Amino acid sequence: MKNIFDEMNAPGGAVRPHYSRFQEWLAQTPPAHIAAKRAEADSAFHRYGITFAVYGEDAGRERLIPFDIVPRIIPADEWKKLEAGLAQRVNALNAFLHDIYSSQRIVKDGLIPAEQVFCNAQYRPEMQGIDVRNSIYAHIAGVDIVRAALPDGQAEYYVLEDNLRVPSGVSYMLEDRRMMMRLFPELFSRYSVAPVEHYPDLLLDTLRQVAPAGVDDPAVVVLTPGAYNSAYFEHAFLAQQMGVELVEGKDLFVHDETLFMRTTQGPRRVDVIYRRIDDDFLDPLTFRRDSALGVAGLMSVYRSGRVTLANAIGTGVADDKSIYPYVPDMIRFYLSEEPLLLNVPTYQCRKKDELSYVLANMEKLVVKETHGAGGYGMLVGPASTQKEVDDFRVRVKAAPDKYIAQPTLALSACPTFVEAGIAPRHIDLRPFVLSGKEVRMAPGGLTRVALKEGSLVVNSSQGGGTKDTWVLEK
Amino acid sequence: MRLEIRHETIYRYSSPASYSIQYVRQTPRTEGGQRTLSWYIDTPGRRWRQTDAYGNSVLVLSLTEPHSEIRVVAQGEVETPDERGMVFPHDSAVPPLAFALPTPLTQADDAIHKLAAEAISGSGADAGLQVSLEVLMNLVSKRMAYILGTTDVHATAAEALAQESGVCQDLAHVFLAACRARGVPARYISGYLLDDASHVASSHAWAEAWIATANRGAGGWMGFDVTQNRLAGPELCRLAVGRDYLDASPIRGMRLGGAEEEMKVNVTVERSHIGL
Repeated sequence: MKNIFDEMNAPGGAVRPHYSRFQEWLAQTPPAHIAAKRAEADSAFHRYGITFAVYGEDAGRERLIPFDIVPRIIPADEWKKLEAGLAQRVNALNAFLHDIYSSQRIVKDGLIPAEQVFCNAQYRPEMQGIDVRNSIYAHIAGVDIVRAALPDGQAEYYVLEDNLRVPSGVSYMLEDRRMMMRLFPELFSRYSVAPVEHYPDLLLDTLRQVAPAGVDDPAVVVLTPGAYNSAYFEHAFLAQQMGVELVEGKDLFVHDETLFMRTTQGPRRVDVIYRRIDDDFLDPLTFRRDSALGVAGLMSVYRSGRVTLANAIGTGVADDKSIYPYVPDMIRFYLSEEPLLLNVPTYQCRKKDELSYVLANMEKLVVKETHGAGGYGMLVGPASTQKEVDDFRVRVKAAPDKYIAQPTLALSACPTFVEAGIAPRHIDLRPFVLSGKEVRMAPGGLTRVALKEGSLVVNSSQGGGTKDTWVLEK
Repeated sequence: MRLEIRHETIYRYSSPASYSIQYVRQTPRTEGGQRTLSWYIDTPGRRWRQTDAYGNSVLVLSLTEPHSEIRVVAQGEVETPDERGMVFPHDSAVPPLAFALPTPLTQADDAIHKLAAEAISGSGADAGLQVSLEVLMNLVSKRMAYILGTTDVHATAAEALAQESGVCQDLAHVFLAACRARGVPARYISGYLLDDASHVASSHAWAEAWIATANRGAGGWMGFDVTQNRLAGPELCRLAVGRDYLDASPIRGMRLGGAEEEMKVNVTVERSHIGL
């Protein structure tokens, strides 16, 4: 493979400074000890039930998400830059959502074509005129970041996508840290690693900050589609960590312009819902009428400003891949700042000249469905057969509006335990950015690793694993 | 024209329901020269009123005591504009473009695409759009027979066109699907119809399409009563607008328990005579 940036090893074999103490530890620790600890991690994760239901070919199967013990280490100054860039980006995305669901300035000023916003399936007209507390729509954002090699041997961070609907994975971030500290406490005496354990406190504090006006001691709940959802473990985990109720739609009802939860002591008012259900299923009287997961009438209480939904409805219009190319412009437009984080150059197939480029160069590109998520409906050109490329070309030609394409980035790699020992595998990073009265995040995030050699797809649903992510304090 | 309207909806349950919530969209709209002289809605339960994203006045009611019946009566007097084929300026925070996107009920299949192409050439932004839309209305109303009971309330436009029959709601959906298939923003209107000739009054549904060139380029909505095959006129009272039936239906709700449901609707619309 071409020029790949290795997070731990510099070209020529020298270990990068922030990994040197880890390397020393690795050299001093007997392989049998590490093997035993890895087995311990596997059995512990099985016992906790941290598994992931798989969609697609292996549908119906539950799989353990592999955990790798080599941490992904980020030096303090690098994280500082990332953190500032993330806060800036999420601020601009929230400003964009507020704008399109109120005065629509960015469209009127011609920065984004009106059709791109209002003919987008993720735009929710029902949100017009709803006064969202603090004008925050994406309270929890999971921004996917990759690092790609530059021709000069250095590497640069890029934002791959902004997940503003119901981003998941934060429970793995927390469990991975807990596991590392349990397995290798000695490592944490060699490094000063910024803690992430307080994420549930930050999350609860954020949710309370955006409670409806006039509510002093808001009741917060986590709304789950139920035990059959692939992320149910995380829903239960976060509710338990925050010390709030985990509810399903059938536990809630609307009466007298108020949302209530059924409890053994009678109805109790609910003020804030951390919802882990997609927009379409939230209220059968407003969205999909066949939804049995939501709460009939919820939208009317929301419109009255008497309940907060986190995230708000309709955030998908801002993380849609067809809107992604405009995020740097949003930052300039709303914040009058230059973007601190880079966007991946993106070809919009709805534009004629860009479409012909994509069709002619598909073997080199990553082609994605604009509404796709989770690594489904995408083509990684260089890793595909000629037939796969040809089939995809037909799909793109038939509906160019539905696709964008990007150059194949040489994702950075991090040493990872595989069958044959330790080998570099591609990684990404999903920090979880919280927006309430201010923007906050736990240092780092979830590092996902593509375990198949050469694979660039890190999604857990596509055979990816996870690593503990260390942001160094100094 | 002054219309006196009474609209009664009764749900009866074979065993008591323990909970109900209903969205009632039965308050006449106030733009486009339509004026409400008096209006009152009688309902059981707790109720609150709000304006939705489309500018419809929605009365929400909830009941938490066991009940075997819900009776909603809306009545009052409305003055409709005398002109036929009026063009309204845009009137809500949802931009006209958002009405160009098909909904699940208004997805175009091959037959709808064909119908749309027959009537509307080009993209729909041209000056001849109004004429094209009248052709479309004529095609839909000729192709589809108005027959009660051949479709259920959740039939899609494609299903209704395939069986070449339906009620006013289905004809409106086919018209909307065809407009949207050509990129023309179009919306669903629910309301009342006074049929002077037959003296039949009813709940009714029709469509409005966005004429971008109207009002010296500012654009405007024009009403197409597909069932009657004529432009909207004074015999129509507008209640609610939306992307399709589901956004604008006069009543939509959910209950717990209640077993079998029976629904009865009585609408009377009469010309009111000043001085009587």
